Amino acid sequence: MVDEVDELIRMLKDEALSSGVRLGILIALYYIDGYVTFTDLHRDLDIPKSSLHQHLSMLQENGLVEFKRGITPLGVRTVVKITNKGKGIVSRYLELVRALR
Amino acid sequence: MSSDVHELLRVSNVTVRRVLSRELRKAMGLYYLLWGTYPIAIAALYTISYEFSVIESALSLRVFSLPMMFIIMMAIAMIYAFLSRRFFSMAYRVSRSPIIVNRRGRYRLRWVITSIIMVTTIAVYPILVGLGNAYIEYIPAVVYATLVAFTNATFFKSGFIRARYYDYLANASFIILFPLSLIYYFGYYILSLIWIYAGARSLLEVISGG
Repeated sequence: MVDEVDELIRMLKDEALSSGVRLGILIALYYIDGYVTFTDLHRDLDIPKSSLHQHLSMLQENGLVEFKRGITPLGVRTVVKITNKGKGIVSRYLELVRALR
Repeated sequence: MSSDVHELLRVSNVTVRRVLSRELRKAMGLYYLLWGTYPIAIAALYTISYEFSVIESALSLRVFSLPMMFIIMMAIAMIYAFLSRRFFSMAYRVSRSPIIVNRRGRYRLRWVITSIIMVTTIAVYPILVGLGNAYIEYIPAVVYATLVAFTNATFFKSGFIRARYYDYLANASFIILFPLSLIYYFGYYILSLIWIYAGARSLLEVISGG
């Protein structure tokens, strides 16, 4: 139990996951397991575009998400998708949360 | 854990809920729209087979024979099921999430409502027998439709989205009309309209942010 709490706190101290918005985006992308457009994320979260861009750039720099222009049914849009590394981290995070419940 | 960590987890849960509620509703809307077009696709298949029957007989071909029609219908159903797979896999993953909002209560209510509809629909069977429309597929069709309705409930299990009146309408109409449509074919078209309506309302909900 103590080990799990320690690991969770260590995980959340990582620069990429030290923000609730970034952690939330990563978990949501894990469940969606596909792409989400930047526009949709912006509409959902109701935060300035520049802040969202910063959060996504930070996640991308750490290799947790792919953030690029892509073709969608509505045309070319900026899309965000979780990477395998990101999936591994969220999977571990959820295991820890489950264990602590 | 420190208050900073609590705050971080709170913000992350709010973020997850906001993103997933929208994505789940969008998936649900696309699912309704997709299956809403299934009776239309089958009707188009029958129309094509009818239109081509003259050419077929002139050329002595049997492209649209009964077994072939069945195979094509199953192939279309498989394509629809394949397209639905992504929606359900997301709903299933979310439903197993440890980050759950209000799972209890509403899910139980859905069980009760669905069971009442199922029992009522089966109770219609003696009336159908009385009208001379006894057919063996009726009861399995009710059971199948109920299973579909329960599977659809996976979308709501996590509590990230609320069941709206058009969700109840789509699922209740499926349990009632799907078995009846085996005799009264127009039932398929009513179902189609209801599901397209539910899909459109779901996507409007996503657009309006409701």
